[in-house]
Amino acid sequence: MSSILSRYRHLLIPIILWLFSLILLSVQSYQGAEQSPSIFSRAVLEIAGAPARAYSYLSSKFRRLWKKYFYLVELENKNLILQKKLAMLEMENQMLREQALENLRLKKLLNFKNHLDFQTIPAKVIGWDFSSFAKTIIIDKGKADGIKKGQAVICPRGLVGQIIDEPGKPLTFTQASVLLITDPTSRVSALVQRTRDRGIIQGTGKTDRLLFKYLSPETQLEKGDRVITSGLSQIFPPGILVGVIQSIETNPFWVSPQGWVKPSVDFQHLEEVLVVVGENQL
Amino acid sequence: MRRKIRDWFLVILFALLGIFFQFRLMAPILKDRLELNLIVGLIIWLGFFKNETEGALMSFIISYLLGAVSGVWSGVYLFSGMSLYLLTQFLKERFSPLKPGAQLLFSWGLVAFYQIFLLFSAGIFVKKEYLGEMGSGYFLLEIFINGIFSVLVFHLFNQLDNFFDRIPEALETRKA
Repeated sequence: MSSILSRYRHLLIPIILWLFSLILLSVQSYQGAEQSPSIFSRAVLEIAGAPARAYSYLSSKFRRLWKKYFYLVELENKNLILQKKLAMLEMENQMLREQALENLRLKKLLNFKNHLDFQTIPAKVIGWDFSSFAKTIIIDKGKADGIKKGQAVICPRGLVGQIIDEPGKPLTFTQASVLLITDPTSRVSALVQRTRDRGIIQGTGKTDRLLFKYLSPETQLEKGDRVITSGLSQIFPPGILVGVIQSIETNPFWVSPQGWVKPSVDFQHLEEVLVVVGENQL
Repeated sequence: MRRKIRDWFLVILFALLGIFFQFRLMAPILKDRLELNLIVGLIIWLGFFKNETEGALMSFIISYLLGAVSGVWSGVYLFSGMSLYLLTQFLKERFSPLKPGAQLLFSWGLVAFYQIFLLFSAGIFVKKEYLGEMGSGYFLLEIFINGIFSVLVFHLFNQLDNFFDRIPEALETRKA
């Protein structure tokens, strides 16, 4: 094959021109035919058209491939933009969800506030100090809002604590510290809602445990009894839920029984509170 | 280069004159019964004495001119002309007719091929009726006359070629 090609290589141009003239004649015959074009012209054009068809096929494939490539590049860019948008929307969604939850909590707080017989100021918890000694939180309201030392702090679930003003935990114009009822130094005058027996609730330093002591010897405590503020201390308004009796301890050497109370407030997740600032709500 | 330009000029000029002779002078006289062709001899000469590329290009151009002037089916003339050129190229290496007589006979045979091929192409590509003309007396007469013309053209171009080749020598002799 190669020997034939090299032998007739000098005839390449004449052969190309001859083929060209044949194609030209076929085209002329095909276009100028009065009836149907001759079989020869059709055959020549079919053969001559094969490379053109192949070229057309390949070019269309290539164009499609090229388009696809650009489409993919565009898709990648779009994907990046969409991913960014998605991240932003997720963040926005998270914030909205948070706002919705806050809204819900505030609604509850407002609803609770409206049912109270005393004046309150809503405040946000902005700091925690759950160290082993002191159990305090910091709220975003201070003297400027009418907050004073010794005012009770409550939330819809129950009693939280009282405003303090001590070295290291001062009451400022914009902030106030709240001594939680779980603090070991905290004392709250309370009574058993069912039996009306009075006692003192003392903090234990643990957020899930309060000690209910100094009860009268005749007190018949039962597990599940609700403990509420008595109102005797002048600090805490009466009727605020402190917690629920979890266990009772009786000892022959003790004069009276004492109980362990589970606080009704979840101090770990406390976010909004109400500060009791006045006796009667107008 | 000068020789090439001269050859191109001569070939194109002769082709135009030949076409003029064929279609403007002879066709009205012969009333289209006979088609006298001077170009065919030129194509054979090109096939014999020109290199493949140049000869092919010249043949293509003059065949195209012939076809363009002839009328509707110009492609038939172009195709037949190129086929004749290719056949001449193909056969000249095998037969190598060196003697003038053999060359002339050879060119006559090629004219016959051209005439037959022309009608055959017209028959298969244009109209079948053209094939029927092959058996007519006019057709054979056409081959005969065009054969003579081609011999004359062949001879004329050989002479012209020799003449132009000898001009520089003659000029140098005169100078000396």
